[in-house]
Amino acid sequence: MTRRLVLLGVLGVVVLAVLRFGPKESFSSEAVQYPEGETVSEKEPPPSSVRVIPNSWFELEYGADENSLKDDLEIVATTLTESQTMIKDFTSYFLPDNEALTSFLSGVNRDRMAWIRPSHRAISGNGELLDRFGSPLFFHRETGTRFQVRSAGSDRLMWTDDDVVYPEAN
Amino acid sequence: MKEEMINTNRRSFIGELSCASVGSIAALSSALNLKLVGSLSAAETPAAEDFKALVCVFLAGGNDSFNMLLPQAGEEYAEYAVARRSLALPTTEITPLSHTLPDGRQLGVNSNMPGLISLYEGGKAAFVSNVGTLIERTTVASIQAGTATLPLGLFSHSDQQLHWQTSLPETRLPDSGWAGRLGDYFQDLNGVSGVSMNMSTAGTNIFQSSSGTAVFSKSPGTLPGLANWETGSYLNRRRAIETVLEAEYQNVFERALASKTVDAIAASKEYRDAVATAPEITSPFTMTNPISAQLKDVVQSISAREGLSKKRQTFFVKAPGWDLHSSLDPHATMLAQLSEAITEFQAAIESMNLSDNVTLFTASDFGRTLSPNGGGSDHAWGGNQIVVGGAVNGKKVYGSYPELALGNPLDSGRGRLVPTLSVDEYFAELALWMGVPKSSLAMILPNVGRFYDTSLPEPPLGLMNLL
Repeated sequence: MTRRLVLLGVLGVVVLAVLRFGPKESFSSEAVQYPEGETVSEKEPPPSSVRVIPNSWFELEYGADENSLKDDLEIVATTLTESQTMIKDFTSYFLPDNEALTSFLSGVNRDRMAWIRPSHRAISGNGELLDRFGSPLFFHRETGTRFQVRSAGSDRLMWTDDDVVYPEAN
Repeated sequence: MKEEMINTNRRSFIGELSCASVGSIAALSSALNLKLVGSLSAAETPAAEDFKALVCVFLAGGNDSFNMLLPQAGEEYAEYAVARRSLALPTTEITPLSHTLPDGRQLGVNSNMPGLISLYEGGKAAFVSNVGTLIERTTVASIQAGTATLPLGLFSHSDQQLHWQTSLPETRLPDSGWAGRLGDYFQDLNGVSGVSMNMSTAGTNIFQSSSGTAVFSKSPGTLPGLANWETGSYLNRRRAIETVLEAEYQNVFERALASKTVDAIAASKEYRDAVATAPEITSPFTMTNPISAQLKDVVQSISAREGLSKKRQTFFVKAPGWDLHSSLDPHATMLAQLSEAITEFQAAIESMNLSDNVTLFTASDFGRTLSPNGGGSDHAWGGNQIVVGGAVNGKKVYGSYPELALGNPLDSGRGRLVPTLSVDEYFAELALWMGVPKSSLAMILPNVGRFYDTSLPEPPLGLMNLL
């Protein structure tokens, strides 16, 4: 009886883990090198009032092995664009940086709509969205609705030659 | 070869035409609106016999102005150095002002700006501190509580440039800039001329546009007009173009385009004739400095004011490249260029005995974060601006120079300082100096009442000599 309960418990944990990270989540811990001193967010899952957009591009493909870094940035930029079509008065929000934008995309908005789960592995303990090398992305706000997203690249140093940006400057 | 030349000419013709005919769309706007503005201005325009010009130098990209005007000594410098880390200037690169602030703080100016420092100490320049776009007085607490009504598109280049130029931060689709509204207001004061009172050396802009006022745009160092328009061998081409322009068009847009093109060609000629008969500019300008080159053009246009029948003029000069995210290294050179250009401009204006009649002011998208962003800094909000001219109550820092310690009561994060002065208060002072009475300020700056009680006898800042 005890053995059966233990087995059921283990099975439950496995099922919960699959549900939590999703079958297509390939933002593996091997691929991501989080910065020293930072940990993957331990934030609580979004409250039930937050509506997580099901099967969002971000949730399905951000950091996937088969994608490139540039693909990741396109996913983020597109997610931001998509959010503007669904959240009224996007330009009235106070969104100065990565942390604020990540929070916004995780449901901290008037419509309580999330494109990224607050528990997503790519969100650092500081609440910033990380690239696949574990460095925070940089968001350059060109217009009220258009952002250029920059990754520090594999050297993890921002503003060096291996930086990747999307969209590229005109 | 011949075909290539024809194509080039056609292309340049179209380019020049489109430049010269700026505002044709605006001209299609409501005639009723124009009439309303006209009648109001006729009723309230001051009987000013003097000439006044306002010159906006727009530092596009967001000037890191807390490395332009900054603490030079004491605890305040220490706080500055901690906040700015690698971006902090050593005290040896900061020229202290000859006076302290009323609260005893010692500020200084980036030593790469010696000309500006001389103007300041001579009482012909002032700074306006921690000014930015606001819809209402805003605090960090009201932002955090989500109760603040914020300028739309905060921290975005295009939106903040728009708001600085229109003073309407609650809309992303404004129909006019505040100098455009000044143009409407003063249209009866200026004489009959095809050349707008609003001139730009940096192309069209919302700042100087409105339903009734177009921008007269020209490239620095050139005279406006169509290439070879007056050249004998091209007269056949000219006749052909004139035939096209003089044709009767049924379509309202075609008719308006033809009409405005004819007007623009005439305005270009009027401008060239006015410059040709105006006093020559002998005061030196460094033409390799792009800001100087533009300001020389401004001086030339001011010199031609009588030929252009102008009592009021505004100018728009643009200096790009201030968005320094990766490295602040170019900032020193850019500030030096700005200082040199302003100094040369003021010298030229003084040589024309117009020091009390011309005021130059700077504007920029936003201030920048005190915390570094790599080797540079990121978009922020409040910043410091420069005002220069004989009518400026100079040698003073207006507004409230903020604390620069991170986490201070104005810090909305990473040293993004919430402005304590609105652009409305800043521009109201300039509009009053141009001759707009307090009772009409709201026509130029519709939101000014949120920040300044126009029934008060005192001006918003005391920045300008309004006597």
